[in-house]
Amino acid sequence: MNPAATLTDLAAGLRAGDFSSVELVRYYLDRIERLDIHYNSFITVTRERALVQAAAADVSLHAGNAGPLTGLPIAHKDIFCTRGVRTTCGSRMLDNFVAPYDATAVARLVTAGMVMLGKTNMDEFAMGSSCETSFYGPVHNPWDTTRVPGGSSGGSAAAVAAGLTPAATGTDTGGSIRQPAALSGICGLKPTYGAVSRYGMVAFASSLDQGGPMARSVADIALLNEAMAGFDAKDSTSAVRDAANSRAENVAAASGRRLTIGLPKEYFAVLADTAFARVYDEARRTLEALGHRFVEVSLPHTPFAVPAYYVIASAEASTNLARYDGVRYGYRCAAPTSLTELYERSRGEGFGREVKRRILTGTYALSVGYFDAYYLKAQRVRRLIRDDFTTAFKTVDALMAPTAPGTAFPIGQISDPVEMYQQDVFTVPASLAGIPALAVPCGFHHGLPVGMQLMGAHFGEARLLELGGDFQRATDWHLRTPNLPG
Amino acid sequence: MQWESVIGLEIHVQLATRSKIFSGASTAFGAPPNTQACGLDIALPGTLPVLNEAAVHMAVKFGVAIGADISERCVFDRKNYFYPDLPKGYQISQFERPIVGAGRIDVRLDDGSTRTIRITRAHLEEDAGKSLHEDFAGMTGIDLNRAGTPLLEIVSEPDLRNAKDAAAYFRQMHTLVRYLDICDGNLNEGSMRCDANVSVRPIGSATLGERTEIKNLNSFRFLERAIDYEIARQIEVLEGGGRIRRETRLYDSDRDETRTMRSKELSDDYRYFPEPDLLPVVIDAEFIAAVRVSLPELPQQKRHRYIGEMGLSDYDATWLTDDPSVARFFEAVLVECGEAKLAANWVMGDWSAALNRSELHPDASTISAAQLGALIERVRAGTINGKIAKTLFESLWNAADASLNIDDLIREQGLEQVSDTGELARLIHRVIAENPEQAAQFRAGKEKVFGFFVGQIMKATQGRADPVRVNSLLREALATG
Amino acid sequence: MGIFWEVKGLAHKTVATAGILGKERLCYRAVFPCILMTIHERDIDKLCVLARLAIDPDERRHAQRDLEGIIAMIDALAAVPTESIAPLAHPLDATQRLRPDEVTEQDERDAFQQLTPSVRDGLYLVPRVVE
Repeated sequence: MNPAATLTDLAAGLRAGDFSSVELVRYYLDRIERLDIHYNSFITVTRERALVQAAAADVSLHAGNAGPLTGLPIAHKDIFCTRGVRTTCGSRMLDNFVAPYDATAVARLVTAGMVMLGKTNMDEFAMGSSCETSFYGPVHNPWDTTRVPGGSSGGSAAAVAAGLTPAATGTDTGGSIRQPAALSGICGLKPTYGAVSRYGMVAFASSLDQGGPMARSVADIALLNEAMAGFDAKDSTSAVRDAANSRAENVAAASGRRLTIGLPKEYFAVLADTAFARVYDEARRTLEALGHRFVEVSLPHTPFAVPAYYVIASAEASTNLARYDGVRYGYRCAAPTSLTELYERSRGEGFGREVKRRILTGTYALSVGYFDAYYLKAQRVRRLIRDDFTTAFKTVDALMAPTAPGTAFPIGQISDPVEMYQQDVFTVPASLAGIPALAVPCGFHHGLPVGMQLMGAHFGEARLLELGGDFQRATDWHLRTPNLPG
Repeated sequence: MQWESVIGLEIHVQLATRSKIFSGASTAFGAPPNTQACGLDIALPGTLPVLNEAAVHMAVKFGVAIGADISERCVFDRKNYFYPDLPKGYQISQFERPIVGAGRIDVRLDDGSTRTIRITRAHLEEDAGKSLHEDFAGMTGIDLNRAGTPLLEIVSEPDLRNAKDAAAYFRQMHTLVRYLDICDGNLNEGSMRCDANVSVRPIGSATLGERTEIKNLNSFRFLERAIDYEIARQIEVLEGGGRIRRETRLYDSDRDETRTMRSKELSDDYRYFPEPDLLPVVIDAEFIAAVRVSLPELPQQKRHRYIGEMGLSDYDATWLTDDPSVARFFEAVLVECGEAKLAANWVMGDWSAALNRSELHPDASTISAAQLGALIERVRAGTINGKIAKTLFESLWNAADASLNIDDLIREQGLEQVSDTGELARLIHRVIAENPEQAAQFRAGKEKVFGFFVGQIMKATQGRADPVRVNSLLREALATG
Repeated sequence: MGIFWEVKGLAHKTVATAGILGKERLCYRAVFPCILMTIHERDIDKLCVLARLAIDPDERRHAQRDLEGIIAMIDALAAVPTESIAPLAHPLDATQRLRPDEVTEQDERDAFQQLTPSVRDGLYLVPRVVE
């Protein structure tokens, strides 16, 4: 078996009877056991449960009532509640939390017959861009284990890149699917806000969070997105989905449609390294050769996206995390002598530094006297940023931009929080606007993966997947693998 | 120095929905601790709120009933503070854009006058859980069954001027929400709670004095006493040269005093901001129109109708319309018996006494309205006399069988009133003849003996003689010898 | 709250690349007369009380520096003219769906309280609260 196999390949193999789901799942479980010591991409491996699920999938496959994802393995970012399985969010606060229910996104994949291998490592409570803030230790990039895989869905990205799982789920609030996908050389989709249910996805920033798929190929992404996305009555912000969107067929069939793709000048203007920028020029030329047309567009409020994002995300997070108080579940400090002590020490000891930093920032932004200048202001700027995209999409079908300002950086290199926040400069605008965005590998720079970001109008996932699929028929960046031990 | 007090009330009404405002857990009272607290109610990670349509409907109903503007587009906000009965660490409430805007309600005061009290706004929010402080060895136990129950918070302008008026306003609200069927009005179970904002100022002053807030008053009596105490306390402080500190206080009913609420001393910045897990709620004209059509006759209207159309007294009309279940029963009785004053007498008298004795809610009356109405009608028609009617009432009450028919009972038990003049005259003559000594005593001037004869006649007729006829015939017979 | 602003020269730490000194920015400056703010350690303490977070003196020092840097970054927003722009709470202009009033959740207390650190007789226990 090939550790770099795509879901699409594996699905064909299962249907052809080349191997069973149990054999397939065993293969990945063994790889995790042997190799994850290098990457630290898993927090929990659900070996017994996976084998039971795989056996059930095999029965379906033999009975002929299997779906396109039946029997295929997947790993879930440890931010998704999984019934009966520890769900930690990378935090000491939830180190002992066993979720009593399944997130809707997880349940949908279970219904689709997928087999859960385990829960992947992540920045604590999804706050980070490098997977260095996890209580369970940093994740190492399979392309260079001295470097970060990106964050916060770094565990999922690394696991896929290292061939420990063919696919994984992630969550994206300001770039947490796309940036690790780009830094680890895989694909990742942040769906339109509201497309994937947030029920059971532990909240970081409610108006920004979206769950989405991470995998090797755009065709795989399309398969997973179709299963994950959909209206959920348990989530008030869940959107009624247009069924025509993101069908896998859109990707498989080369529609031959020629698209007009916008290049946001403000994004490319800040790319300092010209060699790095040239990788995108190459990608552009590839797409042009396929018949797509490029024009320059302007998204003038781009420079304000990071500050606006950090105000809104921190503000929402500061209150979303108020429930962690040591009373009903989660970490509780030892022998508190008063209620105040119970709260302050459980939270002080249970949360890591970045989380506390964001809670303080958010509390500050919402305080009396600062609310208008910060929170309301940020929301006004948010509207301007969204309107920039709406205007752009009047003349272009999609946007192409960098995903991250550089490639994977060394673990421990960035310690200044504001410097770390700049990792999100290309990804937060799409988050603020709620538009879909797809990260696709498009080259290498000094041996490290580079990903391009394709952005579309609300519920325009299908077009992005079509475009990404087109690109992947003409390139093989997504099939490259790092030198994997064993 | 002459002082006047200025009072505003914030009434929290628990809406009578089946499920909670944001989750599908039950709101039924009295369940074992934490058995009606689902994942959202205990704030498990990843859980999300979804708004209950009945809560919206009930809030709009209230708004229409007080003539208020209904917000076309209202928003929920997070009110952030830490307390163990608030599992999320924030309460979902409404801050700047409440569902119901400014309205008014006419309140009948103790002295019979009516005063219009303005309502600033009413908004939806979720209730918190309960803390139990007893018996846990230095720990407090938290029950989250109540967490998430829908509340309508009704805020009045500071238009009230004394404790009695405040109690009258609270009572009026209590009646209104029961008429609207949006709250069961069970104060013992905490279905309605009141916070009172109290301040005093010299009479004639245009500015308001510093106010204090007395929290969680759940009886009319306690409300009145707490406010009276607080007014007196504030006046004493000010007259002694001190200043009133803005603070939250609790009423201690055992000591009949208010005191500072310790846990509220650290004033919190609530950091209100729009709830990102919920979207703006749009209420269109169609929805409001449908609610308006569904409104029942309101207590004020009903009272006026009883006085104007039925000719009942103010007192009777007020008594009968205070509780919608009573009004409902009364009106059903009236349908059968046709006479408002008679019906009012029976409902306010024998029926009310029976309910109290049996400790029953009006809806649980063991005599049906139809039965009582029929009973009253038979008295009015002279079929039975008043005393028999009372006996019959008792047996109907005890039988608790709505299928029992009055006429059948009257016939079976031979209860028809004896009012035939000839028959009565013959009976009277016989009784007089059988009791010559008493007859002589009466003729000699002993008026009291009249009662003896009435008694004898009643005995002879098993109590069925028409008392009015007996009276006149007996007098005539005794006079003529 | 009492976070006190101090003017520290005219040096502006953040990159306000809009380059427009619009009316909005002048108004903003009129209300908040300083461009650069200092956050004191005592301000961190007040935020920690609001957020119920215990931090040690070392953390407090770092938090103070970090927060100052973050706030300076956020101050860049002041450069954007937004007088006529309404705040955007949700990226898509959707409105709230209403749920039918039905009881859909059953008693799961036992399952939930498996997760609870301190519980007795079905009640969640916290150190005694005095009212």
